[in-house]
Amino acid sequence: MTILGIDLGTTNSAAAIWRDGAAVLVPNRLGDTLTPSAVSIDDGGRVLVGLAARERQASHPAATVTAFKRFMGTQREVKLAGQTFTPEELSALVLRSLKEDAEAFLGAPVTEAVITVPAYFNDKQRKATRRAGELAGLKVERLINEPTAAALAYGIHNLDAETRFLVFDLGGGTFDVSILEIFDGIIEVRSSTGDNRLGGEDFNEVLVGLLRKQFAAAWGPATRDNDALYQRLREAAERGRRALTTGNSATLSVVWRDTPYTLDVTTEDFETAAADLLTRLRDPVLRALRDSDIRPDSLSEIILIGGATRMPLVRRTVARMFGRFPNAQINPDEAVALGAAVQAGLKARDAALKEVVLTDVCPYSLGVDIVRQLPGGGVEEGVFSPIIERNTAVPVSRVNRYETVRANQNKVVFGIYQGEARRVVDNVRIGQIEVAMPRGPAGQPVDCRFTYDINGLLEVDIHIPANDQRHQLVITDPEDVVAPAEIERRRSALAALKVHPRDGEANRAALARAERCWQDFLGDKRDHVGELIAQFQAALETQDMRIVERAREGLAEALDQLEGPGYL
Amino acid sequence: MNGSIWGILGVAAGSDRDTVRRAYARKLRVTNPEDDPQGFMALREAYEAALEQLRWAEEDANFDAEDAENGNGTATDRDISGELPPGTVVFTRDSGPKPGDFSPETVLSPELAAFRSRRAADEADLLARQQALIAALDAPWAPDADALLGLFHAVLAAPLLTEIAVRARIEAWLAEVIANNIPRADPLVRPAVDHFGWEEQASHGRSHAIYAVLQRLEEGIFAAEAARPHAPLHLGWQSLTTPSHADWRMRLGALLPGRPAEAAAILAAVDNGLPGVRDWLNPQAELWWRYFGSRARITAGNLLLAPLAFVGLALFVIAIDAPWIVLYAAALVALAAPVAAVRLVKQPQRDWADAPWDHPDWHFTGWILALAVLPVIAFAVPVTPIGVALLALAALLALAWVTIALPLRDEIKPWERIGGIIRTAWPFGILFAMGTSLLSATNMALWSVMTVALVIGWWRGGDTITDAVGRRIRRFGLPILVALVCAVMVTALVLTGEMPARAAVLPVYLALSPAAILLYVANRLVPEGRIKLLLAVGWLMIFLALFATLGRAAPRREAAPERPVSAPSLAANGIGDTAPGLTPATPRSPVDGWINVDDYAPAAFARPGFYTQTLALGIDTAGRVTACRTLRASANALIDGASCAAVTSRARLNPARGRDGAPVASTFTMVIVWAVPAGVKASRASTPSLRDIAPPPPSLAAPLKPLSPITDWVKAGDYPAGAMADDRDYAISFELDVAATGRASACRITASSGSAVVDRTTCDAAKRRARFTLARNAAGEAVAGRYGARLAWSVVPAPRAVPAMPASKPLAADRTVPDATLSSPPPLLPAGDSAPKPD
Repeated sequence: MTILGIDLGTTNSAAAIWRDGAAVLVPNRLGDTLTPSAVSIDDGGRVLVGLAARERQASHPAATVTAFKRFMGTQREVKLAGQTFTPEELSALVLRSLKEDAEAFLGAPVTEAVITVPAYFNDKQRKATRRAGELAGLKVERLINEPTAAALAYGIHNLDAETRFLVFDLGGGTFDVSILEIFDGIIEVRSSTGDNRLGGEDFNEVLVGLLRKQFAAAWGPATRDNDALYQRLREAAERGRRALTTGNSATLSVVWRDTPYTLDVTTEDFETAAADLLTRLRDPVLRALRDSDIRPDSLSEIILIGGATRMPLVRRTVARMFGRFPNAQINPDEAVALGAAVQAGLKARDAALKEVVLTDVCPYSLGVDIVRQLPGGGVEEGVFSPIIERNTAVPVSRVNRYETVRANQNKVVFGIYQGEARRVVDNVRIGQIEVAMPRGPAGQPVDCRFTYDINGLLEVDIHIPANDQRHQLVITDPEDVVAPAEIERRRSALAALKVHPRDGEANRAALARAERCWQDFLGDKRDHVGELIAQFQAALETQDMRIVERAREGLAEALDQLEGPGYL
Repeated sequence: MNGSIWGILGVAAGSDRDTVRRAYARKLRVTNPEDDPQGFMALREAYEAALEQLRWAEEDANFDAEDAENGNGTATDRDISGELPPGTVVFTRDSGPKPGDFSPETVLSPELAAFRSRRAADEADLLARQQALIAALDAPWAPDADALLGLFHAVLAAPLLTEIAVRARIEAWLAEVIANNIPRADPLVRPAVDHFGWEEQASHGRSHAIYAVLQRLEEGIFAAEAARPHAPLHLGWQSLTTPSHADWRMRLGALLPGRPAEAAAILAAVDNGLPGVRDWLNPQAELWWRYFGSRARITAGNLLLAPLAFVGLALFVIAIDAPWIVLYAAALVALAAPVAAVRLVKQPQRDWADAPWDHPDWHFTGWILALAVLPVIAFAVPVTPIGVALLALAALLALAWVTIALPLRDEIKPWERIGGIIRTAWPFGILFAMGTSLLSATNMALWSVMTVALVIGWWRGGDTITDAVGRRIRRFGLPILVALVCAVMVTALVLTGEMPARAAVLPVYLALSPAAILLYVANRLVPEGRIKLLLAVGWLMIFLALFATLGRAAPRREAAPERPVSAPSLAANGIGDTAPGLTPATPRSPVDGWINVDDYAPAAFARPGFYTQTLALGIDTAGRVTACRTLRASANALIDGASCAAVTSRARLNPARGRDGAPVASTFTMVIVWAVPAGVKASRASTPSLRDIAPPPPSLAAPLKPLSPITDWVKAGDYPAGAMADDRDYAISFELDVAATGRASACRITASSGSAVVDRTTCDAAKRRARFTLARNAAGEAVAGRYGARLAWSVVPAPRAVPAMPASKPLAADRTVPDATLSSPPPLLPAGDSAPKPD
């Protein structure tokens, strides 16, 4: 039984498998290795996933959604053409599409998967991801951190040398930094930090902001919340950002209410506008270095992964940070999926990976809230006391001793938190345990043990030495406890959604792109696109595979000439 | 322990890093985290512990080495030159990647060339900024905080700091610089910690310097917190930071509750963990408090000061001319209180030695003292509008103080504070309401003060008492308490026979208990948060309802007269002889206390009327009566005969004194007036009560009542000179028409005194000064009415010794209420005991 390695990204997703001692990417129904993380509902109420869905983003904003990974672990719901979806369900649709592709590729059913998550995903976000896998009909064998996966993909070929390297993972929506060390065949994650609300999309927002600022007078304040305009702007920003990757300037052009607006942006403009984002890139790097206790000059490689690291802007910032240029040999889009496949191989005890041991860390501190007694009598409430400090190798079990504050205190309440802030209000609350105390003077000891296993499950064990009582709690958020029946119900609801057959997917993607172009252009160009669409539809009518294929290639070529090559 | 660490790893103790790592890697193949989590945890723990030991050993070695070579010049000086103190700084600039280290193909790129030249410039710039900061810190004058901060931020803003390695180096360097320049670098502590996030840094990664800076931060926070007004340790902080005064002033200051304890707490903090706090303290004051703290808490001096305070209190009570019983009580309390306090505290303290957590704070004594002393003051303060207002003011101030002085915390939410006050004060509310509802106006003042004393004492008594009581209340449950109060009140009503009249409150009591139970259950069920405030308000409502019913349930004081109105009443006064150079004798106790109704045969009061008797007393040098002679007899032989014997046996006077201050014998003239109203029975054993003689008119819920004593309506000065020329009684009966304003609108003479001038003057004065509480009918509406009164002036001949002064013994009046609107007039009322003197 093959375990599928899946990189569930903000912008694009990919799948890979471990086969014959190597990780192999799974091509999707369009023959690409990347599948855009986009879901759209077409006029017939049928679900589109992938490129076809993403092409509809600008033309059908109300029926299309992307970047939903950013809302994982929250209660936010998305309404698409009258239907309501949770971020988990949307992720499940993407996962299901990847699963089908893998099944087609392997010719065998796939039921198990290793899914990657940003290292800095918190407990809720991880659990949501796990549920998404279950909804897609995949047993999630392991959630693995994205930078760890990328490092695995890189490190598996460099096992012999003793190396230390930093993985700089700037994805579409999340930013992770991991520092790894390889020695004697051991891949050890030394530290992992990040910012789970920073990514390429934020750079797009910068360009969108520039456009809005430029044309604020023309568009007026009413367009501030106009989703259709926003999606056009985002599309233009994405294209502009890609143009800036290769050139020194780009022209952002957008058609709104049949009026074209264009704005020339140079690399310098972009860098100035994105200065804040670039600063935010630095703190996690610092933290990771400090936690790993590794000197920056002893790092043998800086590995950039994640699509957003293609931006010269980001590469320059990294170069400035480390005083050297990062490694550019790794394909930033595919490394994570490949790493997930390696992990799948490890999990399956593949012979080629027998000698490899991976130790990962818990990327955030876990602890309880305490009342801190200030020297001399005052107290400070709501102070975070970490029990498992961040970047401790997992599995791990740690115990801290706490004392009662008052004489005859009759109970102790441990609020369980995750995060790095000194005060618990700024951290994420993940549970609570309350224990009764026997009568006695202030300062009675209470031992609190946290056990964090390799799957990220936290167990809290309280021991009161005074009466030798023990209390146990496995952290499960009330909202996280979803009954199996409920999962089953939601899975069948997703299964009942009408989906287009796999075969026609390429044609729909091409048509969606052409329709978007028709909206984006004016005058002669628009007419031209209209003609192209008519021709392509005529070709589709013939139902002759070869004719259709030729027509599709012709259409793609024509559109490439008009707006530059398509992208993933 | 060490053995097991190395044993688990399977290497010799103290092996070097590489050996340890290799051993770990080897073992890890066997104990894979996937298959053997327990084994992995043990292995990992041993591995980390071993690495940590090696790290510290290395660091210690470096530290020693540094100490050895650190003969001249500071570490910071060397830092700048690029040569780092070994060990403390993990990253070094020289070992950082240099442009030249790049592989050949990247060196060729023009981008890299630009990169190199810019970097060199940035490096020089950073060095200059570092030097400026060091110069400011090393300057002989005290560094200016703003300038220092500016230089600090300038270093942080250096462009080269975008490079991670450089930033790490500067971070270590700054930690070193700040740690070595405490306290001069104090302004930089907080910004540095915030900027580099040292607080959030994992503790194992911190260097010695960062530890020192964090320690300093902690000390700074402690100092800032204690310096904040109303903060827990502020009193102690004040006394430790201000220059010390003379010893007696310091000792007086130490009597303030909490101050020694707070000073001791701060000194304990200085000794245990925060030594740097000493930088803020005044050395002399610290010395004084250390000396003070080293001695026993209650000293002989302290014990003496307490009685002294009570003597002051007693003097105050005397100065305001309180009854003698109060003086004795005050003196007794003054003597007993310190002894009792010490006993009360010492004994339990021995008991508490076994279970120290049940031990109340020392402030507990303050509570006992307040309890003992304040009632005395309450007794002593006269029940006048001003006195009551002053008491109320004191009570309000005390409450305000309790409110303000409640321990302040930064994050306390307002509703928590309100809830806290309600939780703390409600038992006293019950006490107060029960007291005021059952007691008279005099004692109401007492109760209010006592309640406030209790609240203050409770608060000062510390949380221990509140906790102890709260625990018991929690065990029984508040609803049971409410039910208990209800039961007590119902029982009291039944016992006093008031139940039938107050039946209306019964359902309220019955309803309150279930409501309390409901709230109690709700309180248990709802989670923490704002909703708790709602419940607190609910409790408040229940207690308010309870108080309100308590007030209504209590017997109405105005409905039940305080003494039988028709008993014979006495007015007596006297004056010592005056002569040139002679200080006259003065009574030691009120004159009317020298005689009472029991001194006379019952038959003496058989006939209604006024019996005025004037006595001349001979006083010896001890102030005792040696002779008694009737100057002017009343018309009643039974009275005349008995008075002298009573006065001789009871009267005590301060003897008259001559010019030299020596006591001399003198005489004292005394006037006794007995007013015997009609209807007095011969037998005093069965003094008739008002209700028996004349039941209150059923149509009126509250009768017409004068606001001031009738005798205050007229004053001697109202009468023209010579109006009362004869030595006789002038008895006047008059009637006032009372308008809806509560004032008299007309006055009619119903029985003349025999002098037209006296009649007219009396009527005019009464009309001008009389004020009434209006009568109310059954419906509660105020009704106008008529009020009848009778006043009598009695003029006595001037005593022999003071011929120049036409002294006359005033006599009070009695009054009738022949209100025409009433079905039956109220009876004669006895008069007040003072009366004006005519000129």
